[in-house]
Amino acid sequence: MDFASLFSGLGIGFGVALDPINILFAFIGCLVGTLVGVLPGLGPTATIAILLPMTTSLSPVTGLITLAGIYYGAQYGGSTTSILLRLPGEASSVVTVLDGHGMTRKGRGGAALAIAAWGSFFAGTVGTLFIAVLGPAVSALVLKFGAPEYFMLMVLGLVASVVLAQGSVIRALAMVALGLLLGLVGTDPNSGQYRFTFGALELLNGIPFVPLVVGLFGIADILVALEKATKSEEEVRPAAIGSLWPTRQEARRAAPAAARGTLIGLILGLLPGGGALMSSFVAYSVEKRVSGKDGDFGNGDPAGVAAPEAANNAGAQTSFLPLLTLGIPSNAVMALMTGAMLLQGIVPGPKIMTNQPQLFWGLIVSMWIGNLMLLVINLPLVGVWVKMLKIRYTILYPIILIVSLVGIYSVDYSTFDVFLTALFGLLGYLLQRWRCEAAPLVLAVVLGPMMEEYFRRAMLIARGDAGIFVSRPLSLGLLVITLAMLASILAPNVRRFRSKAFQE
Amino acid sequence: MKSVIHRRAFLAGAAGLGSVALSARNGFAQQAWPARDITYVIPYAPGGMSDNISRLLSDKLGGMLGRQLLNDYRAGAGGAIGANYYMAQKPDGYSLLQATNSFFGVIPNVTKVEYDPKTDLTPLVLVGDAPMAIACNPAVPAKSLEEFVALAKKNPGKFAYGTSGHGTVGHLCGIWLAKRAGIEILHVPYRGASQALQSTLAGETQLFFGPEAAEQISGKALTGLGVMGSERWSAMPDLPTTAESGLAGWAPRSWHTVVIHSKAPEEIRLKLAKMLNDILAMPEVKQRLIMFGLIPGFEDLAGMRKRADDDYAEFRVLLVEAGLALKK
Repeated sequence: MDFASLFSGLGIGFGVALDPINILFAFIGCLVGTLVGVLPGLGPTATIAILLPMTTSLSPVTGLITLAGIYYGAQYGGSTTSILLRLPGEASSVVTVLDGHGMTRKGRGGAALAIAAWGSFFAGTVGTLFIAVLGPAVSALVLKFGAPEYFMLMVLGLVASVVLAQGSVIRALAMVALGLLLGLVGTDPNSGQYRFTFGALELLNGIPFVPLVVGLFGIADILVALEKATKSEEEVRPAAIGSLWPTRQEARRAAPAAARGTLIGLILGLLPGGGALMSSFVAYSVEKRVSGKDGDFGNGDPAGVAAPEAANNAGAQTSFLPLLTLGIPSNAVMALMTGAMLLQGIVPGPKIMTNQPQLFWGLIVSMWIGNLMLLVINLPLVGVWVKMLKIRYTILYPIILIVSLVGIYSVDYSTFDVFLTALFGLLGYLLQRWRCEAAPLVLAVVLGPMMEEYFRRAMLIARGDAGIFVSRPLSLGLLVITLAMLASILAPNVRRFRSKAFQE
Repeated sequence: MKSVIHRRAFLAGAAGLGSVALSARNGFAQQAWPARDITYVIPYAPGGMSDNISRLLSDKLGGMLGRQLLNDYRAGAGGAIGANYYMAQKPDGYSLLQATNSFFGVIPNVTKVEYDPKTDLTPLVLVGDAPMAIACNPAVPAKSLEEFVALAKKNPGKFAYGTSGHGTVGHLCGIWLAKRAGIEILHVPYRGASQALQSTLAGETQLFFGPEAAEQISGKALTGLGVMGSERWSAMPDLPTTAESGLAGWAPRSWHTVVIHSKAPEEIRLKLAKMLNDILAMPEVKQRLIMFGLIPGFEDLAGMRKRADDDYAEFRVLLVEAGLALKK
């Protein structure tokens, strides 16, 4: 793309996005999204579905800008609960829990929220530019990513998830194995046969994600706190809050991490089917590797918040590209956006850019405006959210429980999911007692089925020849990276370092 | 709150019936249908074709009835959860189910469901046929279905088709084509039609069945080989039908409908079918359906029943072939 048309495009885009009505609706979208993201369970997919009919009375651009605002807002809102309450709303914020909540325990919750907000804004800005400049060219590359490449990417992710754990490698591996086993529940992708569903139709699509994470993280945490409270016969004290703003030192840790996270998010976000999800924890693992001994991961390292949050948001931006340039929605939210476009009389696809420049560029510029608004909305809110921590736990915990369960019920209106949450809450409590970490387990549950799917698809396409994984350059490259990472985990000096870090 | 709703219900009922004295008398005796809002079960996640159709219809039908249609999403198990949920509703004419022919042809053949497709559910109207276009990657040197079949005969097992999963209409199109044309093609299931379409674009698979390919065919990113069935698709009139290509008779198809309990009062069923057909005949509704990629059409209640029963029998043959059918 030449620069003249880029600038004229951006000009059109700013013309559309700076229209007062569009600014207003971008603001409303971001605000609604933030609030929704804070409630566990009720994610962006459900909210957009509910609000979709209302947007049909708006002009197409305004409608899409509103929905896009909800999407980013929810991404951001989800990290608020992860950081403050250890309640991840979706897979991508599982990683934010580790150090985000670690910072909260150290009384740096406000700083963690501010770092997440700035990191997301930075990533959003770069992401918007990236889409505008390289978008159409890059989206063609997505097609080069076939089943073998996806499989290798998932393996890489799984190996990286061991790095996420703070404790013993053996325990982390055990959690990965358990997660993979849980991931077997559902429908066999190639034969359509049901596996371990025990006749429950609710399990045909596998173990639902939100009950799993809310149980393992949120509910389990409450159970552990209750146990402590009853044993010591004194109320668990809310964490001290401290300054709301990052210190200079924290900012210095966070800034380069956000930059690296953004880069990772931009690339992985392009890949439909798991790319955006992988970006946050690949970014986290990279930080852990880069920092080496300097890092204090798991106990509230600012880099551990900045990197996944930036990656997450950059990925959210680039996941629009396959929809806008190829007409292929890359996740459930994008599928809803397709629906929104169709209801407005627009067929998403390769022709959008030329036939509807107002819409294409308007949406892109409003992505950036939306990110700016999130910053404007969220920085003042940091103080409000952090005040939640001052609420006495005897009041806060019941509220968290009720809100979580209502949220979970509202996803599919299923009581089955509510019971499942309770069950995973219990499992999460036991795991904490046994000092096993839930993060690798959760990631294995998410990655396992995808890995199986891509592996079996690759084998189908290659007619059973496993050579396909090494004969394709991209796949081979990923394999080499994975092996290198595995070697570094197993290398004894690394292990010694890990156990030393654990004692601290 | 409750009394307000009741009063509004009463007023709406009275207003709607004002013109016909006879039914007005009935209305006062035992509030005429619809005396309250109607539940509209959508058995898929929001954002797909069924959701788009339901949004289009619920506005119009709600306006006609003076009631709201409350969209109730019950996704999961390829629609089986929604269907079972619908069966648990009272058959009193206050609930509808947005459905496809899968609820008659495929789901009851492969999943244990709590309904008999022949006696429990009545398809009211034909919302539209989803044309199953046949598209192939342009690297395959075939410009027509005949050329593709000839090529596939020379290279058994070399070509693969991507579908949105096991037992989906796309999969059954592949089984049917292989069986009728006497070729061997490999099935590769994906998670959703968009992933499958992408695989055909990228050349990971060579063949794709479904309306989703229209944009790519007209943009020349894929080669259009034809369309399943015996009627051409007005939006893509250049695609010959499989019947024209020498494969006559029933072919796997996909159509959308609105379903009601067969046990619902007959007058309600008839009234709803008429109202929905009136809505579907509106030019702006037709235009929207065409934009969604559907072919609007018309069938009366008997025609709908025949479609449902034919599909049950024909799909069963293919599902048995695929080793997916439940034992009866």
